[in-house]
Amino acid sequence: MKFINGQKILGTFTPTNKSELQKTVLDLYKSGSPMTFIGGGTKKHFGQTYNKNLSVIYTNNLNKIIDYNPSDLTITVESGMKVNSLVKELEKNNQFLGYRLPLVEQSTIGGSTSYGYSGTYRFNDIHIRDSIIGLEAVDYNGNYVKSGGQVVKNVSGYDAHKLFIGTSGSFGPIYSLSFKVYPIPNNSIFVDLLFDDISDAYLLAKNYLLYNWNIPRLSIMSSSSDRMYKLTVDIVGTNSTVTKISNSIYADYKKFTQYKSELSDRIFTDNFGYELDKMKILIKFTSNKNNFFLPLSDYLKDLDLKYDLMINPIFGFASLIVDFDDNLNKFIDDLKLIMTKNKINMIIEGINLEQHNLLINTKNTNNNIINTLTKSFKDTYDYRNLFSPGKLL
Amino acid sequence: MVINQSFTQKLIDIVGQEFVIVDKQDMIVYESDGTHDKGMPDYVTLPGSVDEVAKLVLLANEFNIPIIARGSGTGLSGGAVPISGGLIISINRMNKIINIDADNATAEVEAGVINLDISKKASEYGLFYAPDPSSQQACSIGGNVAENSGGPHCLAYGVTTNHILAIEVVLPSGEVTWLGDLNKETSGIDFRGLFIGSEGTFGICTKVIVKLIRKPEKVQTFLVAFNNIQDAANATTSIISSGIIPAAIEMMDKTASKAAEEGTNAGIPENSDTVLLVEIEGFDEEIKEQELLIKDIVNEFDPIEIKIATDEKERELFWKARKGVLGALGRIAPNYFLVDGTVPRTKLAPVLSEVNRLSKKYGLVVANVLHAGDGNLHPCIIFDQQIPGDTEKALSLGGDILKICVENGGVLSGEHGIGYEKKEYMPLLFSNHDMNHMKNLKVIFDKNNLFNPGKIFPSARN
Repeated sequence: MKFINGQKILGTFTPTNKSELQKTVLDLYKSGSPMTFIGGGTKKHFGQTYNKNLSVIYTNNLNKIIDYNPSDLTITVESGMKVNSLVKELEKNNQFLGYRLPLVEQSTIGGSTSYGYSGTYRFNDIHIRDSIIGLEAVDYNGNYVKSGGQVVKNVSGYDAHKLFIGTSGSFGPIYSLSFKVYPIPNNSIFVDLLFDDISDAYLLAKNYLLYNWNIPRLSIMSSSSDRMYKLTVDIVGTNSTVTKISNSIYADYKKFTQYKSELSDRIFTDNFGYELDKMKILIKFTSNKNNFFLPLSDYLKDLDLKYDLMINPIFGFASLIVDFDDNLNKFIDDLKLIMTKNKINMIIEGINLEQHNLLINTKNTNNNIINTLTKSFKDTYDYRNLFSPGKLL
Repeated sequence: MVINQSFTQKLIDIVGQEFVIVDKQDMIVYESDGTHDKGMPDYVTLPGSVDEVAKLVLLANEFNIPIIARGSGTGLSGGAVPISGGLIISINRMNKIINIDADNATAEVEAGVINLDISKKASEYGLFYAPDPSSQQACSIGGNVAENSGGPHCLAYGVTTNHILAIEVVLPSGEVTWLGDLNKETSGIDFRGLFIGSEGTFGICTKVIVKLIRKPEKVQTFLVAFNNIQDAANATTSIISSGIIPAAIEMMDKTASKAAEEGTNAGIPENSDTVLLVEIEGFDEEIKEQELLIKDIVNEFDPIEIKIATDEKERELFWKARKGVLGALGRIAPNYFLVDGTVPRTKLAPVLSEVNRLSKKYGLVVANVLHAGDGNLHPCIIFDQQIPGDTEKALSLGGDILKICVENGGVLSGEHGIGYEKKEYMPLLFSNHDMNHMKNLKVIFDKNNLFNPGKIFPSARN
C-alpha cells in the first residue's frame, strides 16, 4: 500500500488525453472517491496535508503543446508538461516565462500553477498568477470549463482561472494553461558580493529594489557555516544597461568593504528550499516591507542552529532551511513570537511535520469573512469535498 | 420604481441630505456612462466613508433594492448604467490618497481617487502608477478595479490586476474586508484577483493598495507614418518579435489620424495612411540602442516618415493626438460607437482588413484606434443617431466586428469589460458550462443578485 501525506493511495490513474482525464474525474467523483492531481510530485509534501485516503491522477502524460505562435508571445500547453520542456521550447524562439520555477526537470507546469510559487527570479516582477492568461479545467461533472483566453489583454467575463492558481487542485484538475511569455533579454550577468554585516548588504540592495526590468533577482543568502551574507544580483538588459548597473553596484560596494566576490550557483538559487529531505524543514516568511528580514537575521545570528537562509527583499519573502534537532520546537516557538511582533507571516513546509508537532494551519486566516468565502467556494465547486481534500480548508 | 420615502429618509440618515439625490433632473448625469446605454437610477448617494457604504448596502438589502457602484462614469461597456433602476452608490467623495510608502513602492488610496492623481503624488518620490486608461484624468481607481482597466502603457506593464496588492471591499452582505494581504507572496484563493474585473457584481471596492513603479531615466517616443495598415501591423509584430518590449505601441488608421492631426497639429504627415506611436523607456544608453533597432525594423516596411519627439512638449503633443482622437472624431459625425476586442497580435492585419470590409458593407465609416502591441482593437464606428436606422446599423456592425475577433482567436473585450453592452455576445466565447462556472462565483458573493444585476451574462431570453 502506498501513501501520500500520510493518506492511503486508493488507486492511480494516468490519463493520456483530454477525454481520458474527463472520464477519470467523472467516474471517481460519481463513485465518491476523493482524488488529487500530481504532476512531477515535487511539492506533494508542501502545504496542508490531505485528510482522506484518496486516488491519484497523474498528469504527466498530458504534456503536449496545444498552440504556440512565437510572434504572439503566448503559448498554450497541457498541464502535465514538464517545466523544463516548456522552457526549452520557448528558448528555441528566444523567449521565456519571465520567471524561473524551482526543480524544472521534475516539476510540471500544472503542478507549479497549483502550488502558485513563482520562484526567486522574476522579470518585471511577474508572478505566475499574472502570466496565466487562460486555463481549461475539469469540473465535478466531468465538464471542461474555460476561463480567460489566448490573448494578452482580456476582460471578457470573470477571471475564474484565478481559482485554480495556488489552491493545490482543490477545485479540480487543470487540463491546459495559456501563458503570456517574454523575449529573453539580450544580455544577463551576475554580481555576487560578500558582506560581514547584513545591514550593509541591505543598504546596498535597497538602491536596486525597483529595477523591475533589469534586476529580476536580488537575494541575500546566508548560512550557519560561514556567517557571511552574500548579495546575489541578476542583471539583464542591453549591453550598455547591464554594464551601467553592474558598475554602479560595484561602486556602491566599495563604500562598504574591500571587494570580495564569490559566484553563486544559479540553479541552487532557483531551487532553494525545494529539495528538502526528511531531516530538514523549510520556513517561509512573507511581508509587505522590503526590510522585514532584519529581525530574523538578528535572531539567527547568535543561535547554535544549522541553517541556510535566502532573502528576497524585492518580493518580500525569505526562505529558511533548518535541520531537525531536539531544540527545533523551542526555536519555532521563539521565532513565531518574533514574527508576530514584527507582523511577518510564517509558514512551515516539510515532510512529516505532523510527527514533529510542527503542523501549522497556515491557510485559515483570522479573517472569518475570508474563511467563510473560502468554504463557500469549496462547497460550490466541490460539494462532496473530493478534490484534494484537506488542502484548502 | 416608486420612490420609497422611508428608504429615502434612511439614505439621508446615513450620508446626509446633501449627498442623496432623488430629483430626476439631478440624476440625469447618472443614467449613462461613456456608452449609449441608458437607465435612470431611483436613488443616488455619495457616501464619504466605508462605514457609510456598508450601511447603504445593508439598507438596500433590507429593501431589496439593486445597487450599482459608480466611479467617475467613464466606463465604456454600460457597466455602471442602472438598467433596471436601483440605488447608485457613487464613490467620488472617497478621494483621499491615504499614504505613499516610497520605501516599499506602494500607495494606499480611497477608491474614488482619480487614476492620474496617484501618479502625480507618487512622482514626488520618483514613482508612478502604471495602468493609464485614456480617461486617466477623470477615471477613478475604484472604477479601474471594477473593470480591470488597461491603457496604452499596459503593453509593458500589464493591466490593473497586475498592479493591485490589496483592496478593501464592502461585500453584498454589508461586511467589510480586505482581499489580498499586502504581501506579494500569498496563499489560498486569490480573492483579490477574482474581484478585480468583476464589474461591480461582487461588491464595492472602497480602498486600494497599488504597486508603484520607479520612473524611467529616459522616455523616447516615435511617430511613424506608413502607406498602409498592413505594413503598420507587420511592423508592430516585428518590433515585438525582436525582443524589445516597448512601453506602448499605438496605432491609428487614416480616418483616426486625420482627425487627430486636425485636432492637435501633432505633425502627422498628410499623405500617411496609418500611424504608429511607439514609446520606449529605460536608461539613456539603452534607449539609444533600441532607437537604432526600431528604426531598422520600421524601415523594412517602407515608412513615409519616422519622427522622434525631440522634447517632452513634442512627446505630449504626440500623445495628445492619440488620446484625444475620440473627441476629434466628433468633427466627422456627432456619434460614435467604440468597439473593444482583442486578437492575437499576428491576426491584426487580417482582422483590420475584415473590419474595413464590414465598414463598406454597412456603409458606415470606421476609424481604427488600436493598442496594437497588445492586439487590442478599438474600431470606432461613426454615425449620426438622428438618421433613422443608423444607431441600429452601428450596433450591428459592432457585433459583427466582435464576431470576427472571436473567429480569429480573440476575445470580446480587452479593457472595457462586458457590462451591459456586450453581454449578449458572451455565448460567442463561452459555453453554457463556462458561463455557469462564472455565475457560481456571482452567487457566492451575491446570492440575492443585488449588485449590478443584468450585466455580463446574456439575458435569459437569449
